[in-house]
Amino acid sequence: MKVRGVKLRGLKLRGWVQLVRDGVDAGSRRIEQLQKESLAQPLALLGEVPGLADVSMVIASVATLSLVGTHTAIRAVNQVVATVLDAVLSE
Amino acid sequence: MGRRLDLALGVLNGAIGQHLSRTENELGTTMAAHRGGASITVAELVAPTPHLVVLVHGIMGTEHVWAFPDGSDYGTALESLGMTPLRLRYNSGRAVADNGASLSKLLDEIVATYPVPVESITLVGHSMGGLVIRSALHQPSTWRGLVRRAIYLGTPHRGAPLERVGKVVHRVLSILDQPYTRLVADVADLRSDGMKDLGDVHPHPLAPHVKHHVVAGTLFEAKLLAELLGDALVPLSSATDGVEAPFIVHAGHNALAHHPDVREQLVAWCRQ
Repeated sequence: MKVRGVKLRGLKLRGWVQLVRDGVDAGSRRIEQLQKESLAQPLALLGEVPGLADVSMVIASVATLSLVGTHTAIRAVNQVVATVLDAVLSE
Repeated sequence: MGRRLDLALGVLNGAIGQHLSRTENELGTTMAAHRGGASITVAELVAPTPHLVVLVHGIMGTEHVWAFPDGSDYGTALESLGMTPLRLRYNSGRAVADNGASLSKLLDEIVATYPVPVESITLVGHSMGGLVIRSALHQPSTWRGLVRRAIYLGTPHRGAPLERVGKVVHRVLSILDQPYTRLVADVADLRSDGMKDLGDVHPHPLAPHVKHHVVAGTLFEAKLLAELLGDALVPLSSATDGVEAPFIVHAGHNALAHHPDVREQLVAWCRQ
């Protein structure tokens, strides 16, 4: 395969794509974990304030849902892009 | 492009080789003899002789590390003694013991398929390559009895201080119960198994039936600095590890793989 006259055979592009996919996936998981842990402490403190326990629980649920949703979307897009690139490079 | 890509892949393998190996990524290098940037089999050797010399590079390296500016290397110098050089390339990020097992298996295959009966094997290892050789010499194999000598160039037999510092930093960061410091610790811990092995004293004693020669580098004239810092990566005491009559050369760690004085000494040892 050639792109603008540059031979791509031997550059092991599929390996690089796989590596970037692994990196994005692992990075997203680690950052998701970090953000969950960072969020847990202020929300726990908020929950101890009389009358705010229920509000805190709602905030925690919404925040966690949006956090997990965002990172799941990142990983899904990452997987799709990697799969498409892999298919293109297999041509 | 080829050589630069090879060098980049060598560094990548050294840094995250165990991940490449575990995920079966095609960027992970499979141990094999190389010539001109490509892997070769023994059938492709030109005029093979019964005396093999196997060159094993160090961490993040490739067989290119052996090359002098004129394109020659220790292998070409030893050809003049009737030896056939095999320059290996491997995934230096895998654990030393795993690479030792791979080297042992590869040498088993080479000896079994070699066009003429192998009479002697000389092993030359730079840096981690020396530890891989030591590890391979402890594997049950058909080739072990053929090994006449093993030559270690800047090999951290008793560990490298830089990697020990890395271990301490990781431990300290892990102790602090903060998500962000733990993240930094995790990133620091991403270094490969092979790299982590460099911080430890090699677990196997030197094989008794083999002649062991050591080359150690030092960048310093002062004895204390030479002892402590050695070739900037490996202290003299770690590189020599009690082997008699070490050859000390005024050079940095990487230069030991392509140094005229070392070449002369290698030829002199192999003549014995």
